[in-house]
Amino acid sequence: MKRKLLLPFLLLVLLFPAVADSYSLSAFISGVSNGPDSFGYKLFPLGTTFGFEKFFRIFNGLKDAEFQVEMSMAFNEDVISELYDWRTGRPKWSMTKEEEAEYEFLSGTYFYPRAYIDVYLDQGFWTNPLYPDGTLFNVKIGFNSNFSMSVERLSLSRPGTDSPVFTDWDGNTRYPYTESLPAFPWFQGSRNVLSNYLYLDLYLNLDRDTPTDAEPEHGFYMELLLQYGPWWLANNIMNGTQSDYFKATLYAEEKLELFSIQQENGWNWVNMYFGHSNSLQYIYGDVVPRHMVPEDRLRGYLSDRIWLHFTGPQFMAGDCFTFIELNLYNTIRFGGVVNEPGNVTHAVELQSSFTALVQIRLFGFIRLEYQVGYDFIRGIWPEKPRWWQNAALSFYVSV
Amino acid sequence: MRRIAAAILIFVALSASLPAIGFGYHVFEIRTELEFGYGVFPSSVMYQFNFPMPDFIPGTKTELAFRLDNGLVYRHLRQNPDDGSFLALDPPSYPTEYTVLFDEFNLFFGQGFVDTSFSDNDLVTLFFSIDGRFENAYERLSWLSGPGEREGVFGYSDGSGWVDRFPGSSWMGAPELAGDRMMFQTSLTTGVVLDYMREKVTRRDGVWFASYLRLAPDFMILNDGTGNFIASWNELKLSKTLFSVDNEKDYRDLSWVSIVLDNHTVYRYLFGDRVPQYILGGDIWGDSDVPAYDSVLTNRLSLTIYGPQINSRDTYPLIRIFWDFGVGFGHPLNSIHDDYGVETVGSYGVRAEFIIFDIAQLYYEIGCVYDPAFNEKVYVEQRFGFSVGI
Repeated sequence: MKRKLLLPFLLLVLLFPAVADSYSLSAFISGVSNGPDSFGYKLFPLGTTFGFEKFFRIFNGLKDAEFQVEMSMAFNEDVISELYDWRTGRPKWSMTKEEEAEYEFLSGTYFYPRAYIDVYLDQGFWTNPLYPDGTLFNVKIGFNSNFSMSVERLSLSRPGTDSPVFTDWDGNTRYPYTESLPAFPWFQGSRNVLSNYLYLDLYLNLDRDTPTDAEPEHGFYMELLLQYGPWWLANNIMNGTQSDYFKATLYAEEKLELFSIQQENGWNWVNMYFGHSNSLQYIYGDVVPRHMVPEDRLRGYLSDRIWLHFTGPQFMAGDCFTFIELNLYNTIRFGGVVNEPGNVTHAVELQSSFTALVQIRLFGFIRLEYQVGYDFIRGIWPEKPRWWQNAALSFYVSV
Repeated sequence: MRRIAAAILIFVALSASLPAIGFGYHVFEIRTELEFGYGVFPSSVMYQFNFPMPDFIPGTKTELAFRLDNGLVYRHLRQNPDDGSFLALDPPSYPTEYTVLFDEFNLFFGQGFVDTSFSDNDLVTLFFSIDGRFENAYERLSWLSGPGEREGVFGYSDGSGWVDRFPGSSWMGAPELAGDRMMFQTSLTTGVVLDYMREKVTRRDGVWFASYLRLAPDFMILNDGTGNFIASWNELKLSKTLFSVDNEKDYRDLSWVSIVLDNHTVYRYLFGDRVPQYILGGDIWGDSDVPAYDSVLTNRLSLTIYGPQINSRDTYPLIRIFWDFGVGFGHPLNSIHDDYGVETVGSYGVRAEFIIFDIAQLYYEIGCVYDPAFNEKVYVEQRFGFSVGI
């Protein structure tokens, strides 16, 4: 196991040229998720993403390349989806009531500790005309290794009425977790999963730099991301084949500054920009790991987003500001259902929603957010249009 | 939550006139657990955000930071929950290992005095912090994962349900595990660091000393009463480079080979009637820790042979031979037994490591606990692993 995991990593590391001492090191920490129910009265983070970047020169005449290691861990509970027959992967929404009775669905809550390590090398070419310090075109190659466990929920360590989900009280695995589970490969065997993929990310930057995110965005950006997780990338060494897929994502966005008024010290008073983006994605392959399974398990995705972004004044420090954003999303999901052997079911669905978001950012690492939204159409779900809202306090740092 | 607000307020007061962004981020320690991702993937991490601060005394460092430490760690139950007697006196037949999810934050202020020309650190640094720590304990992750895993620490399965192993216990022997096994404690810490260490990755010479005092009485604001203690923690590091062949052709001051002798002593004294596990200390190599007496002293003497730094300061092999020795003396903590006692523990071993760009490391170690605590068994253990970190 370890040796197989080590190899791709070492290969990447050995791509380093001999001049590695000229790198600079910086660390970043971003995105802290919430822990399982009741942990720390829901106030304390339990899970962190952090990383290190090193910059060094590979090719003379080009800007420095970036080498990054990113690590992440999270300890949450999760709920088993009750929507897919575990044997055939057929979704409940494609069945009649009579058919539903012939299939078997899983249910339950479990503890889902997980972590990943991601390493990449990013080399930029030419100069971004709207941001002379940046590059016009970048090529990024990387490797991502993801580990997760599915174990009984934590409340079982205390007196209570919960029962184990995967085993009985003798520790014997319950049916059907003793079988192979094509729709839920991550629940097979010991339920410890290792899933790796390689990726190639090409992106074009024709947009402005926004060092504090308070500046108005302007310009064009386009990205092609290819993620490849074949079985031979050590994806079949634990509890059967856990990954065998290829995922392609194409993304483009255009932003137009509408107005911008500045304070005397160069900070922002108010500004506004208009944005539009499209995203197209498709997943090929027989086994898609849990962290790559798309919503409603449909292989294809085409989305359109229009937004208006208004930023209020920067106060106290450059990274203290508020913004309001209005978004209109239209998404089409289409194609076969992932992890359904035989690719029997096909569907197309349209999701359409509006959201309004207000965020207060303080000192670069505290975000207070309130969001309200209206779902016009929820695709295959026979739900009426509805309003929803949520609020969050998060610690977040990005550089 | 209120602490976070306090952090912001203090920061606002100090920085109203400061320009733009100047935050730094710093990762101190990444830890792994063998049962979570084979020790390759991180399971807990300690890091800090530095607030932008002017240096109060020119040439020395002033630091204001918000530290966070969070994740999952494994721990052993070491004292009988009912009366606090040491389990090592009569090792139990059930497993003693359990999982702790935790979060610790510190609002940290440090001020350096007397600049040393040879390092980034000042000769003397005084610091002060306000701390909060949240913990929640559960059975280990592998509990109930197979037919051999019916026994937990806090309870076991009788085939039809969960049975409490310590019904009605006072949890005197591990006060933070009482009730729902959740704790939230706040404390104040103050300390001093003396740093006269010349360090160049593979070479070290000098003295480093740190001492801090943590006050965690149960009347602290936001304290849930599971802890009530005062801790004095003292560390002394002595290092001497015995032998070094420098790579003279290289301008980066690399070495071909060097041998460094280190000695690291920790003495901690604890006072209080409810002392949580996280502050007990007494760690030596292996699973046999120094029993929790009010005084615990541990010492590591090690000899490290560094191989050549390959193309970079941060890529090199090393072999370390170490001898760990610990002694606990005084009165047992968290216990109704108040008799004066002394117990020694000891282990030795060797660790070989290959460090790649200071990011990844590959290691093998083998060691022997030759003097375990009380009636625990002498054992030899080896580990092989790969981990990513700093």
